[in-house]
Amino acid sequence: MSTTNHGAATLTCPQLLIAQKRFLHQVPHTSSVLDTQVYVFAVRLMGQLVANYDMLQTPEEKYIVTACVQKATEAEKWSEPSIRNAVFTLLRLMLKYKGALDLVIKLDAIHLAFESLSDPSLFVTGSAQKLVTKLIITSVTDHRQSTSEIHKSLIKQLWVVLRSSSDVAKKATVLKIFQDLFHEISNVILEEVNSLDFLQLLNKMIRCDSAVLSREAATLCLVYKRSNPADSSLDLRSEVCNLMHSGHVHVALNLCRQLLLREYQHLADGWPQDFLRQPLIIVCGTFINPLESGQFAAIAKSISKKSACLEVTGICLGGIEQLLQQGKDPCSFAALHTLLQLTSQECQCDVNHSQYRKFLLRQPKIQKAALRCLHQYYQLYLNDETGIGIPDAFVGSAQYLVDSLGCVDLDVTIVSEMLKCLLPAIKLAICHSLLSAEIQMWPEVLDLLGGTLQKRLCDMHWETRDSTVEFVGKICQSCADDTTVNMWIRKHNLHTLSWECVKDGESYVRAGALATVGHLSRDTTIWENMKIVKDISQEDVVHHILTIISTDTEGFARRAAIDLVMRWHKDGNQLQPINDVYRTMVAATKDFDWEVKLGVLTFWGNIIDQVLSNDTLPSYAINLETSKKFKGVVPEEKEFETKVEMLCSIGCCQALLFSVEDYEQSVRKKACELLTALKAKCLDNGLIQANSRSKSSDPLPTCGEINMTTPIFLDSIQRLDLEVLLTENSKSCDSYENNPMDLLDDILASQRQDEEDNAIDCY
Amino acid sequence: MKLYCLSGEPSKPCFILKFKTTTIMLDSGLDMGSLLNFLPVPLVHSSRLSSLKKWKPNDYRGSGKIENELRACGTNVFVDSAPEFTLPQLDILDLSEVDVILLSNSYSTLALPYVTEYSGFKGMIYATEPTLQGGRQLMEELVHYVERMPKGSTANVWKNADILRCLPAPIKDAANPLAWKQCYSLHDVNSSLAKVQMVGFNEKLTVFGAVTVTASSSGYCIGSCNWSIQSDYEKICYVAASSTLTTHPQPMEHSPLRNSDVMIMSQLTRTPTVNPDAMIGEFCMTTALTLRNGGNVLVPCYPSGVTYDLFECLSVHMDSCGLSQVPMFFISPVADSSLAYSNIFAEWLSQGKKSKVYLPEAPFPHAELVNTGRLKHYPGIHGPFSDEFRSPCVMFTGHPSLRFGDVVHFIELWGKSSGNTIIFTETDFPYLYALAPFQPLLMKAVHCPIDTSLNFGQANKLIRDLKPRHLVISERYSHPPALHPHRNDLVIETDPKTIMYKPGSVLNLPIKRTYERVEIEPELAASLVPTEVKPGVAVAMVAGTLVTKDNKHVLKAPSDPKSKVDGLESGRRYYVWGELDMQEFVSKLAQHGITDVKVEDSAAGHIVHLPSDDTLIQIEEGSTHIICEGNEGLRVRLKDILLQCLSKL
Repeated sequence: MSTTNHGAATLTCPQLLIAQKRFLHQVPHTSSVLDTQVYVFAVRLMGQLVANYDMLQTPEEKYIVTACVQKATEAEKWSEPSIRNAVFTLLRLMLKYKGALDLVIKLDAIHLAFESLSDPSLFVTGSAQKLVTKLIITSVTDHRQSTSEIHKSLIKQLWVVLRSSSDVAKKATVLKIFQDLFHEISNVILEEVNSLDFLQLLNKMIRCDSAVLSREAATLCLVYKRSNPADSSLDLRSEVCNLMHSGHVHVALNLCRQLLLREYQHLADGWPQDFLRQPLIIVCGTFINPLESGQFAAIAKSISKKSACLEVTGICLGGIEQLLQQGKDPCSFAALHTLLQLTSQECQCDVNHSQYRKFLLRQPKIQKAALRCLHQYYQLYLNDETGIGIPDAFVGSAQYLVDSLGCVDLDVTIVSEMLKCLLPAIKLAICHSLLSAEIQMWPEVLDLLGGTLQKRLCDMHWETRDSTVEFVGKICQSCADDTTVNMWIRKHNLHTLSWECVKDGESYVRAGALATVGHLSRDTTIWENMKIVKDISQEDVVHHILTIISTDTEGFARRAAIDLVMRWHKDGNQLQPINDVYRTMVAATKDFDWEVKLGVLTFWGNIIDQVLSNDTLPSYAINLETSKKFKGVVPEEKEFETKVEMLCSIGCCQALLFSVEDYEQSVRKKACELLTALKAKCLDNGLIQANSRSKSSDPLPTCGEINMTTPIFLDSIQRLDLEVLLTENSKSCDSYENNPMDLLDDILASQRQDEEDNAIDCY
Repeated sequence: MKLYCLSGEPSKPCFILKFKTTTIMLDSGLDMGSLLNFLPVPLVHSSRLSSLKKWKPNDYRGSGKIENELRACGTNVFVDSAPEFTLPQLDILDLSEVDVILLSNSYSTLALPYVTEYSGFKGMIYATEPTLQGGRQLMEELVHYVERMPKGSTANVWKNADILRCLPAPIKDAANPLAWKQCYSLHDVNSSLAKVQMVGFNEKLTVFGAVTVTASSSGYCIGSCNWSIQSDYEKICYVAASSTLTTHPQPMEHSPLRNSDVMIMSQLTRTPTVNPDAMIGEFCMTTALTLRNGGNVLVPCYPSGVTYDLFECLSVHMDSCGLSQVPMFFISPVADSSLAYSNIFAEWLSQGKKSKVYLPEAPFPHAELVNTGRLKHYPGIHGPFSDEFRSPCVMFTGHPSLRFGDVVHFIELWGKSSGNTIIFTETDFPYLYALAPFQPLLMKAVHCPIDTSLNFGQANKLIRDLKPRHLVISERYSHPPALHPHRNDLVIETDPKTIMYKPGSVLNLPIKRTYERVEIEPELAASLVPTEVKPGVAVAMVAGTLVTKDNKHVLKAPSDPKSKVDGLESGRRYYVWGELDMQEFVSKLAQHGITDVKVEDSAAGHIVHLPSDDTLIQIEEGSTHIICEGNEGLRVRLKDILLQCLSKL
């Protein structure tokens, strides 16, 4: 469908309404021949009109809606999930109108929504769930006699589903409805259901085999507790203990997690936290602050099998991570360290004797979860400016990370997590001067890490090479000011190896390496040392980067190279030979990758800003002939003209003009923005006149035309209606999605053309 | 049945099996560990090696001139002489008695010339074609390296026990150096290998009619096999170097090895604590790291086997790291034939590689690497190599012992730079001792042992699967390796049926031969009249002459027709069988005038009472008693009547 039909924009509102009605009127009558997707579109369109324009309120319009929905519920169409979803959504939106409840009842939509509460499509289930919730809430707030009792019957139906349905998915959806209802109208719900019965039922469901159902029931328990804190019949701690004793440790711990997630301040005594970390303490054999023997035994018993042990430990680690994210220290650092050792093949320490080692050894999920927790711990300590909280096991944990990182057959995702952990660890060490001899082991750890990183930069898996080179970049970015780290990078050739990764066979690694080179080049010591060791000049480096921009087969790498050039340009680095840089950037305007082209335009934007805002050209541009003109004092408009002339001579202007006609909308938009800004400045400086369009019918110059002169450029921007272009190019799919009027414009325009017997297929 | 264990090193096996009048040698491995006690033989004169200090024991008072025999390098002492090898204990028995030698892979063939030449050996040698060609390449390379720079003198004085005990470790721990032998000649190699008869997998070969030997794929290297030695009623399996990993050779076959009476297992991995996959990764990583730092990589290797996998994995990794422009050199006197042969042995390769032939493509990527010039191979460093050589590069060359071959030259060349790396992948030699005569060495040394043969876990699983009645293993496999004394998982799980051997031991294998197959001549078989004694079982009397020839037994019709007649007419005995039908017996008695008969059932059978004759007949399964108060005539009559009621044969 054409999205750039400007003619339609001139249609008046009555015309629009007539066309809209005609379109929607046709839908029920032609439903049998309409494509399903067109039908879905029509229903969704109605939904958008309701949501955004408060339309479809008149009896005539309601008739259209009724007819459409009735047709949609016919078996053939109703089997399509997108139809069901669109209808439920439309009806939910319609409920904002008075009397819409009657329409919903008339259409028997309540029955349909209840049926769809366990639909194979999650989207349909979600929209049905929302419709039922909305129906109940609307019924409660609608005081008309005819509909005021509907919510009671609906709640009763939901209650029946909960009590007697064998459909687990449906029950879970009903629980979600109750959760939403408790948030909105808890008092009404509590009037309709017996609290005790309700809690007993939830209790039963928490203990059931279905993880989804037990989770939703547990969550509903929490919602209930929050809605009704005075109800002493629900003692959450007792509930959790009961769950543990009845062998549902994982549900109990999930409940604790939910409590922590929802930050129940009234449970400040921290018992959920104690429960949650207990499995970790048990598997690690570090008996700190044990629970009552009953709970302890229950947890220990539950993790005596591998699958249960893994599940419970996973929940426990998830909870600890959650706490750490909230900035709370669950005091489990030492246990976490032990757990990591338990999972590691290479570990030679006492953990070999743990009975849980056979369950946890080389379990990637547990390893990753534990590493995420460790990362959060390091972040926590990093944010703690006092530094008091750093545990004794810090160096030990870092040592573990470095040792494990050296293991050859490590999973790539684990390597990535380990590197993520090591970054804050090194920062932490620097912050607290651990790199000095205060802790003797630390230099050894760093040394070992250097050797390991060297190898990882040449790893068999590109993912590992990528994450390692990225790690080196981040270290350099955040810690290169530290002398020890700076020396460490140079000692272990991490800078030269990162440069070598720019030539890697895998594009992601090349892209990562280019970003790292950007960070490395910011530190003069490291950067100069790299060039000396590799025996290359800055020109060689720039030339290599430009070669990547021009010849690399992958967009990622080209994008990263453009970013690097931009960064160097921004930082005022020596981008020599600059003419080669400009030439490459002009050529990159024709790249196949739209993100590369956007990068190039950003580069030109920076150049324009720099040239137009400064009195003098950047230092690296002194070799340009045009720069000579800056040396003398010239009139202001002449000076501006010279600057524009320079932009033309380096290819910036022709690149922008070329990009205005690019096949990518985002590129066109960016080019329009830049040209609009440039045009405005030209107007300000009197280079072009307002409202004086050139009458030249020559085509616009293209990128292939070298040496575009200033007059040609100025003529071109005068001929371009940049405002219209910018408006057109600013439209996105979302704008059509959220604002169907423009889409209707298109439809109307195409219809008008039909009438005029001038049919142009807009599809 | 006896098993002679001639080798002291389980990874270089050599057994002799005496079974059913045949003498079978299983493999002929050559232990080259002794090489490490010798000084390297450089390709060009090395002033460093020649200036090494001469060494003699402080309190040596002996008469032999030892001054020129030993040289010291650091704390180690090396023999300055032509290198020597530790042979299997071939003097345990007369090699001329060996009927057949079964070779399982090319690495277990290296002692073959010592066995077959000048020993009176006149038997057969069976091996697959790749084993033969691979063995030939290994031997030719060995001979070439040793003969290329011959040492003028041979050192023997140091082998004297009085001197030996004064030497520092590890040379003083050398086992029986007097038995060490210098390398064979190319003539001996050719002569020995000329005796080899090529076999295919699962091809049945008869050894003097006594046993059938069959090779089945062992998955270790191209053409490597395990052997099953089978008589009609006994089965012995010899499991040599085998691998269950997926590499280039045809996968290991399990079914031919199942349910054997005895399984002899050898050549398990020498690096049980490391995973070959991880080591390949380490190898590739280290190589890429060295190259990215501008250094050269030296890989001491054999000309076949794992080297092919290294080419494949490394080239892929180098591509991935953007190092495709770095050349790989493969220098060996047999490099050309090794690369060429590997690609024509498609039927001996894994399914993946085999299927490439139909595309058509070369099974191994090294063919493509050679074509594109990324892998360059040369017989030696002289000649065209010097024109093509450029640095940095990856150099694959022999010998892994670092005592001879082109590798010695490259260590001398690159050893002074810490940017270069030597990577050890072969497991035959402890790498630190191999490097000892080159110290001090700045070049980085990395150990990435890649041994794809069975580890202990895999071997135990295999044993459980194959279920042999008796298992024969080296006693070394029954306890953890010396470096890992607490790793109880690094052993073969033994039970009372496990038999362990030590070097030089002779084992009596617990197999009792109970049956022997005999064939009946068709003419004689046609004359037989089988009688069915129970469903599916028929018996017949037969008389004939047993003829044994070439370990085959044939029952022929008697040569004298008269004796046949006599045998049938006069000398024939009848055998009665079957169950007595009491009704028939009573009726027969009545026919013979004995009518007063009472039959009672008893727990064991029947009791027949003849009151008028005061006689009792107890009929039980397998026995009949007639109690007739001494009336012999009646007893005989009753016996005859009873026999008439039974079936005859």
